[in-house]
Amino acid sequence: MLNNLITIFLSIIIEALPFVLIGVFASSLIHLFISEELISRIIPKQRFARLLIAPLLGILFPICECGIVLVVRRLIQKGVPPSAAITFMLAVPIINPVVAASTHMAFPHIPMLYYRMIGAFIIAVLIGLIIELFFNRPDQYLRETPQHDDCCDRHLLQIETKPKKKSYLQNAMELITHAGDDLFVMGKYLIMGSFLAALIQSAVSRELLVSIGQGETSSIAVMMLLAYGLSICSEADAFVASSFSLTFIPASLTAFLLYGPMTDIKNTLMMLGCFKAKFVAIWLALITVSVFLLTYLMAILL
Amino acid sequence: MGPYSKTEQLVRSSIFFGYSYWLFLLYATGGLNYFVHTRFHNLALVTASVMLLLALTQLAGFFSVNTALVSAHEAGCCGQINDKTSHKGRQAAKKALTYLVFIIPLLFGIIPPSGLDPALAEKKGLEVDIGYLQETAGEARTLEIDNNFLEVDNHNYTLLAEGLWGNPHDLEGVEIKALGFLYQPSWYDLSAEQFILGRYLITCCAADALVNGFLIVMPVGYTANEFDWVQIKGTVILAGYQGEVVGAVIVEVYEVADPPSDPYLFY
Repeated sequence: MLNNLITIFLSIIIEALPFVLIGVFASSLIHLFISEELISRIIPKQRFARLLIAPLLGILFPICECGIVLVVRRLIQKGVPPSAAITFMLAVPIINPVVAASTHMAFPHIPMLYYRMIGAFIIAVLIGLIIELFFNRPDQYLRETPQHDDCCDRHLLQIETKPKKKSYLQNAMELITHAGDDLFVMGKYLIMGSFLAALIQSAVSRELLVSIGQGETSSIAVMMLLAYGLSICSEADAFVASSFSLTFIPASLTAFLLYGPMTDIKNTLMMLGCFKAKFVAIWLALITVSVFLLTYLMAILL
Repeated sequence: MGPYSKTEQLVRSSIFFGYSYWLFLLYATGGLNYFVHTRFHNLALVTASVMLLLALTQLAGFFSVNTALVSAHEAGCCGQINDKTSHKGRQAAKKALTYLVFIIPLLFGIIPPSGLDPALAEKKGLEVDIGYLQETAGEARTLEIDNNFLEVDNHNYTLLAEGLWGNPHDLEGVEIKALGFLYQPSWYDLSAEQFILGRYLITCCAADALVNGFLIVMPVGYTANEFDWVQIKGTVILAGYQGEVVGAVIVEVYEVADPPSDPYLFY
């Protein structure tokens, strides 16, 4: 069993690492060289148009879920309506080219790419609409003073003061260093998640996995729990999910791929550091119910 | 994370060098075949190169005049700088744990790879219809049988299996030579001489491997065990199984063999 465990563990890591690297470099580029002002200028001012455009900004700005919380906080502070900022936060870690590529590579024979992208768009817009209608005042969300440990787990953003002009080499070195930082933060969750997935694959009986994985409710609930607990970055989670593709129904794998980037342990802790606990609880409930209902519907219909 | 001490920069650089060396080695020796589909091989090579770049950057920091790299965290993220001892201690522990997590795969990587054990087949399940995979891959769907003889290799193994399960009449009487492992799925009602001659089929990586194979009947008094690799030679007959007509290979000659260096089928 140990040989199988090691083989599966390492295979997921080897498969996912290229996409994690692409993700950290893309994220670092954005964090170093793209300001929140630019992002807020692109978001339309019109009330409902912004809810439809904000989820698609990940195509231009592929920010991972590790960095998105602070970006969103700053967007709200700069006057972006909370509904648009939250919609942005939910969708951007999923609807972006890096995640699309990794999802397609991990599921070459199931249209998971479409399930994931369309599902993320629907849920992000739906939750954005609820927030637009009921919770659209920044004072309902933001903590006055963010908690240092949770909010600033890693350096993420351009500082507000104008940096002095740097040479191309200095910028390149800074980019590479930032990417290395991000890799250590994100990579550890990939490694831990891969190990758990490998352990399940090699130790748990197939009958048990199939009995859980073929039921609509049980499979979706288990996959959502797994996604929440594993906290794997969205560039790599598709490879962990695909390792369950023989035993779990596609709807449950979609739930894993939607729920994880939208919320997980790591993300919840960061949210609590920057946002009020009551808002975080509501946000968590909205995401959980939305993902479960959408994927349950998918399980029934497909 | 940050600022980084010289020791930490050295640790980080070593980790990146480790991953780079490991991936380059797997690529050069063909070891990647035990882990991932061939379409990921070039990506692994690029990853190894980028890891090398990350390692060299960290090393440049180690040898630079400045004593540490200072991150934006230090410069004023969230407007607070906390230098309490408890915070520093907690941060140090978190960093140490992170580095340990990164080192574990490298330690496992020292072990020469050998691929998945056939004994894992029971957890993987048997897939007998992979036609949808072939349609997606755009593979040709005909077996090239020469003088009623077919030597099975990694390129036509699944085609043969699909034919034996789905269109056995076309293969009746054909002589087959094939290499695979013996497997008796617990949910199949097989006699002591009946086995699936199996191979692992990979679509992305070892994690999603499933078993592909076909029915064989070993000769009475055979001495191989389940999960042994065997090279067989036999003839296809039509057999009834659970109300269906399927093709099975009556084994005339067999030999227990070592696992091949390319044990997986890639689709």
